[in-house]
Amino acid sequence: MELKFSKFNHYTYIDKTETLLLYNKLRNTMGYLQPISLRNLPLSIDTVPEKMMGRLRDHGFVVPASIDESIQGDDLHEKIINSSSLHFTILTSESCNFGCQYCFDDFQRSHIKESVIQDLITYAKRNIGQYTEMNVAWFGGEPLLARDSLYTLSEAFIDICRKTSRRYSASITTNGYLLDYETFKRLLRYRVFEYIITIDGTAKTHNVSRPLKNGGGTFHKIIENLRCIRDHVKSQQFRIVLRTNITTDVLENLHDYLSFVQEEFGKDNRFTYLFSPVYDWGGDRINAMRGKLIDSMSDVYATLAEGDWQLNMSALQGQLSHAICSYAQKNTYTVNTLGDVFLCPQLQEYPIGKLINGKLEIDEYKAAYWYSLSAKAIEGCKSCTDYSICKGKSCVRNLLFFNKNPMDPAQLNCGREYAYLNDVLKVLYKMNKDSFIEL
Amino acid sequence: MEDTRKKVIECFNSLGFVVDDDDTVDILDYLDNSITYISFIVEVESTFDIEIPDEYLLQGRMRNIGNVCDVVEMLKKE
Repeated sequence: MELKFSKFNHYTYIDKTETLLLYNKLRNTMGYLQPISLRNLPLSIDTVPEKMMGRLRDHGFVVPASIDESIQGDDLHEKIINSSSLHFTILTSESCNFGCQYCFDDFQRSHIKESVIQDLITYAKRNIGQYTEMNVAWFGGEPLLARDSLYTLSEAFIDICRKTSRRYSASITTNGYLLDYETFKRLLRYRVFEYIITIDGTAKTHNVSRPLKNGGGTFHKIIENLRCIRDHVKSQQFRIVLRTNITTDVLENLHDYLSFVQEEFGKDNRFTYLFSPVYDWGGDRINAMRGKLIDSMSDVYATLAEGDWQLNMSALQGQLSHAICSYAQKNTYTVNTLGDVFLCPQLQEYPIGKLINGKLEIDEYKAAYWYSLSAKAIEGCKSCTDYSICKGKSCVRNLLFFNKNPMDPAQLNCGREYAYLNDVLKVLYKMNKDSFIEL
Repeated sequence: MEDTRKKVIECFNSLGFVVDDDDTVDILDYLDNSITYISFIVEVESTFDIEIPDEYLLQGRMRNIGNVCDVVEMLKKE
């Protein structure tokens, strides 16, 4: 049978070891091989030794020449978009105890209204049968400022899912300041399995970029909370994603931060790490620190790849599989404290509906506009090999750009990790080699 | 009767609805289309091994859990 390399393969060499890393975007698989006769890219299918060919085929890096993989890409896209899970992102509080330097939010609102809590419960009671499972992302503001509401909703959702034999799980994006031992234990009981906590480098940088509203430092309290969880919680069912927003200041101190987290949490695989530039999501505060925004993540990934650190980077690996933003899936709704419904928390200027009397009143045209979106009108998209799996849905905010006339392709937000795929693969190979298949 | 109530509520659960044990709740808020309504009737019939006559459905005799239990109890005695 005539064979070819998958069009979704991405290749990069690790210079000194002459190891070739492969990543297949369709199958989300990573592999490595010692090239021997494969020293030059692009690879030629004729130069692959027979023994290696079998493994490349088994893992989808090589496919029959006769197939059009775009069809599989389309199919995967459809499966992801047409999710049968109910996913709520719930803003339990639109207030915050932090005054982050780069935050876009002015926190004019308070905690979730009692009527919205009841509407969410009623909706779940009446509609859970349409879905195979339920997943909630607790979000804010700072969601733990309204802990009682979060607890009330969790108890109700778990009860509803238990009675109807649906799976239930949750995650939380919190600044970590209020995440003491008792709160953590209770959240774990409420099936909150993923915790996304931002630490912007060492105390020196973190306390400047993420202070309390009154200007007080937050680093030590968050770290104390995390140490307590590390030392006293035995469960292996959760993971804590330590996310670092990179500015020029944080980048300067990145070595110190990595040494710190290596020392504190490096041996605990429940902790994992993400790095992201500070984005301009709007608002006034970002203007004061515009000079500290970074242009590229290359230096961050290079630092990670070159040092002696050995950290669990499964969160970064997870980002690779996100050719489509999780908020782009159907049945995925963000609900704010007033019951307004959005596609994602970053799109609050673009409501698609309202939660009223236990019903989701969705503007069908607005929702359909997004779900049916095809980015074919964009020249850059048409020629992209990832088009069939992405279709412009790597970020829901792209919707705003598509709405503009004329559309501006330069504004199109492609998968961020894809832009640094060579760097990310090198980091993952160094830190999480077990995730790579030996080919 | 208590056992009947419990089983009727479980019929809702098995169809993916969670109904409060409260007779002020209109079950048509849950069974808001003919398919789910008929599915519920079939579930009740199968659970209690009874056959609910069509006229009970047409007359709107079953608007809350208490109504459903009354019908079930009556048919079980026949």
